[in-house]
Amino acid sequence: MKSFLSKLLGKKKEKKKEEKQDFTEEDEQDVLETLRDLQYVD
Amino acid sequence: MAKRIFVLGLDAFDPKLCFEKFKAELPNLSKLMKNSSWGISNSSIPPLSCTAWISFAKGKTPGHSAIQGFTSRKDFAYTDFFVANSTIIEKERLWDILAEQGKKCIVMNVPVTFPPYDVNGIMVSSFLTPNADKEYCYPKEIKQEINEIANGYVIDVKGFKKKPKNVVLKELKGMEEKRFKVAKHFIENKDWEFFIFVTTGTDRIHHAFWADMDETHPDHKADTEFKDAILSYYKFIDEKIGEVASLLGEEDVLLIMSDHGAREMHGFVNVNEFFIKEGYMKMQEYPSEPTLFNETKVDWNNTKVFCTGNYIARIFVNLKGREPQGIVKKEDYEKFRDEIKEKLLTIRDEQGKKMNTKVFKREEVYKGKYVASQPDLIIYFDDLKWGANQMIGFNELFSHNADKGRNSANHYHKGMFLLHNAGLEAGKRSEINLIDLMPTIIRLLDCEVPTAVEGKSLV
Repeated sequence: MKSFLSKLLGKKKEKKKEEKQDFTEEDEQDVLETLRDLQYVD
Repeated sequence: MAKRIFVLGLDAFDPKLCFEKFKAELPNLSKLMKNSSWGISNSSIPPLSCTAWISFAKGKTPGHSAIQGFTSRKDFAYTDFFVANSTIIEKERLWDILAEQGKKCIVMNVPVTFPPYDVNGIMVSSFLTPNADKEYCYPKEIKQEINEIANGYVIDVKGFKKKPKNVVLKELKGMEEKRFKVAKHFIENKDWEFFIFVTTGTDRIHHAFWADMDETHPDHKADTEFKDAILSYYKFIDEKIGEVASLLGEEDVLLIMSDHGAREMHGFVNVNEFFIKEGYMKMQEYPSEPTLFNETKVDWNNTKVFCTGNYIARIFVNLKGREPQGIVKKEDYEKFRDEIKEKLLTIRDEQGKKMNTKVFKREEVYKGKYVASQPDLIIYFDDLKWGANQMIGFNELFSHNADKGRNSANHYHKGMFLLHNAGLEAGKRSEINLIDLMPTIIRLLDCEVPTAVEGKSLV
């Protein structure tokens, strides 16, 4: 039972992790463009 | 102890303007000043929004983060930089600590919160969000709610250096109107114990309109129709302060704060040009026009030191064993760094006047595991009256264009705070440090302050 529960909890945790957004290379380029626009190119 | 705390973060809101110059025109802030503890808060070094908001939220100096500014060097690479984002910050910011201790949090528009994540409540990310099509809310469903309340959300005002000034002013106010509308809706309709909401327009307004306000600024034009643009924006924010305060309960604590202040900026010191002139930096090919440092061809085998960053100079020694083509030997590092420091202190302004320049060595101002990745020196030219420019190709020491368009204000290292209903003696108090506010908030909410926090609680 215990191992079943921990497996279940483990799976839930994994599922939550999947929801976490990454910061992609495309995101990085978009933000860089914004920063250049703002003159904050540092 | 408080049941709820609302933090109104006003990016760059300047203490000299709000507590002195404009005070009589800001009825809501003035009223709060009478029965609150308020004063100056010393910002992070450097006082950039990115480092400052992170330092505030961690209660620690920037040596506890790999972030040097909006962009930071990747493992001492010369031209490879990473953009500040939430995935590279340890989960030890204020809301992380509070959420872990069961507090319901709303985090709205705080810089470096994209991608947004679970804070036992709601997170809406800031202007460093790639674009409004992205998932800028956690949980995702909040995005739809925000769009309905505000009739579309604005991440930032783009191109504010190029657009006509009346358009910029209108767009900045329009952006914040939408955000305040959302914040007020959340105050009234969501379950929260800690709520932080940060404005962006308060920063942009100084950069765009300082010279219009300041008759002593070299770019000031007597016939400007925007002389009162900054005042009108402060008045607009004051109205919002009144609206927000009226929605809070009698027992709620209100903290109004800025991450740094603002001051006039007379131009930029082209730091890499200075290094070239002094023989510390060599180019393979000198650019035919002003070019971003990371797009130029530097002769690294003959370069001893270089500058990254605008506004506030971040100086790196080209150190052997650390930089890919480092040439300064480790045993010569200290002596060389002192030499550079002394050289930078000799720079005089365009009129030949001595500058009140401050030079910081990283280990003198930072603690933490990332100290070694931070710049070897950080420079405030003339106490930030002059910004730093990393670009190369001007063929002269001073410039007035960092990249795109003019900019008449720099960040200043003193921000403001006002703490209402926190049980502190009313009136102006001696200067605090920005990092003191994080443990103060945690203690007010009766939670445990992590031992590694450097700031000192005010309560």
